Amino acid sequence: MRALCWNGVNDLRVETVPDPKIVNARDCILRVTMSTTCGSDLHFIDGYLPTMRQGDVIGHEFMGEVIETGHEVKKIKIGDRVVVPSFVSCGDCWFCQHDLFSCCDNTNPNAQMQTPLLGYPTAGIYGYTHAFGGYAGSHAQYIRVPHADVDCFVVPEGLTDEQVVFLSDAAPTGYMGADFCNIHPGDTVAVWGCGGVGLMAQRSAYLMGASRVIAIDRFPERLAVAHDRIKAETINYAETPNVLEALREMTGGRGPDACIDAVGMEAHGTGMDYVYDRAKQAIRMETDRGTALRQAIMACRKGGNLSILGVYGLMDKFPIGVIINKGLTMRTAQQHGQKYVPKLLEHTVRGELDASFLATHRFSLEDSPKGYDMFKHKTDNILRAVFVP
Amino acid sequence: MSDLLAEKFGVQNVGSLERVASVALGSFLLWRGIKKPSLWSITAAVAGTGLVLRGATGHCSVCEAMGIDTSDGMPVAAKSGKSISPSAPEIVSAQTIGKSAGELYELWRSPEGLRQIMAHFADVTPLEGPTVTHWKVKGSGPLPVEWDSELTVEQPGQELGWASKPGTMLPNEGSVYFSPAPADRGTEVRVRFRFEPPLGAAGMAISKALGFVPKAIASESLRRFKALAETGEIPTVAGNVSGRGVSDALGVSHAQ
Repeated sequence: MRALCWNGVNDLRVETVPDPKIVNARDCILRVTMSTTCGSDLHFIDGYLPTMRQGDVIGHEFMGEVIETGHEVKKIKIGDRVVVPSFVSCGDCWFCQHDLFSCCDNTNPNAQMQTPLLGYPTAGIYGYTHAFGGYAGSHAQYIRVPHADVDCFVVPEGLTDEQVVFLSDAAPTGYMGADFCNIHPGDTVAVWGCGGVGLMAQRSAYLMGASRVIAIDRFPERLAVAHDRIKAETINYAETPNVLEALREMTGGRGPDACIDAVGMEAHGTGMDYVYDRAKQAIRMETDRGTALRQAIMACRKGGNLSILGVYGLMDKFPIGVIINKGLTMRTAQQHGQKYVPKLLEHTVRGELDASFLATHRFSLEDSPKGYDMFKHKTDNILRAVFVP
Repeated sequence: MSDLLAEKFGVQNVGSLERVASVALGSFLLWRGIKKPSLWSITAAVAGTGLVLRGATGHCSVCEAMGIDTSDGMPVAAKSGKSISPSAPEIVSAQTIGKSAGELYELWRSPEGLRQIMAHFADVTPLEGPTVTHWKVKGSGPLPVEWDSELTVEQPGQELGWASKPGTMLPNEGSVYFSPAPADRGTEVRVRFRFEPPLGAAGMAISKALGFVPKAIASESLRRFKALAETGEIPTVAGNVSGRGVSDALGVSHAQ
């Protein structure tokens, strides 16, 4: 089959690779119908995330048609049109049983690479470094999906691929971020970042009953999307001398009830000892990006909720004292997609959520390197590139 | 000079041809282990370092331990295995598994269960039902590391103990204990084992310097045990596809 392979820093090529096969009894094989770029891919494309290997098939946000199932797959059938969260989850361990799907204990074959850094290993991810399992990714004609009955969600009739594909990652991540905010009527939610995840978090905050949503970014075209599509109020931090003052003023001096960091760093901090140089690079990036998170911490009202979606590695100067003295509740996770996808499909069917506007640019799989190039450089007001194998 | 070497490294007990071959093979394994570090290339590198020492000094502690002397060109059969010294390192690891102690005990004790749990590390085949099994360490290539292991403790739902039979270059013994975890969390499983490393203290030092941690073998075994018990299968990227072709095991073997 054809697949988009990572061959080194800023070296993506579409290559012919073997077709995936059923390995375990709970596996299925999908014919990928749509797959999309994610900002977190840029970190290993730029060489900041270790444990990539030349030839890795990338991509972790996707949907497709089931073409083969292992003999232990009971619910999912050949021919089903399904969307699959980015994290592989077993459904049986204590974490899956408690809706902590991205913390699944049983899906990272390279757990021993992660344990030294995180203390305990996370679930595996498709196409996202070997520390996160090394599973082949979705920018390909076919993909192997383990635990098919747990991880494949059948798409209801009448929805387009563009409406559904982001329910694999951007939408559940954003929705979870809003869920962490424990939103009550009258609440104001401020969201840093207007990429796919930030925009989904903004829409989700409204779905959960927020009265106001304030979007913060520096790209005027993305703020325009937040304003026009989501009906969010906007702050361009590049043009606003004091974002904190602006937020205080907008909220009558109280501050936002909840702040979501969706700057999309997601530098998982998988730095292994033997690639210390790369970890140092990652730290440099984090220092940059720490600005948004510190701002969110400062801006949040006393006793408010802080929801962190942009995952950081090892952050310097983390103002824990501000969190303590203001009594903030901080919640964070990688997406527990399996918990949220059914709800998101319902919202989509009812017309309350339509993520298809994120798919601003469509490419064939053969042209996917061009799609990543545009996505990376944010040319032509791109939000997300989608690939159709 | 030769006396000095003997004093430092032990009496020569390896033949000339074998010494040359040892240095060549050992250097290759060591080079590969440093160039492309993984659990198994590092294991090989440790063995490689041993081979280089063996070739350079003409002394082989493994041979000595096993009573082998090929310095006259004639291999001598191993007389008997060495038992485990009290100073042998002990490895411990723990996992909480969402199954009952009884189920877990039976799964570990079953030859097919044990085969899958240990498949990243060794080929385990039953010799006498579940009681005696043959272990052959994977990837040990030209120097097969193998032993017969016998169950020494069988307390259903509580403990299994085992020990290698005499005659192996890697004498080892261990146990797995099962105890209830709090509330709905299942069973706490603890594994401990001890082994007599090849090349004795030198082998341990080289292993540590190269980042080879036997604990990884124990913790990986427990993770595999947990996945097998909870989901009926072990996570794997064996057969994974990439621009490199099929099979993508990195660091550890993902054999089922």
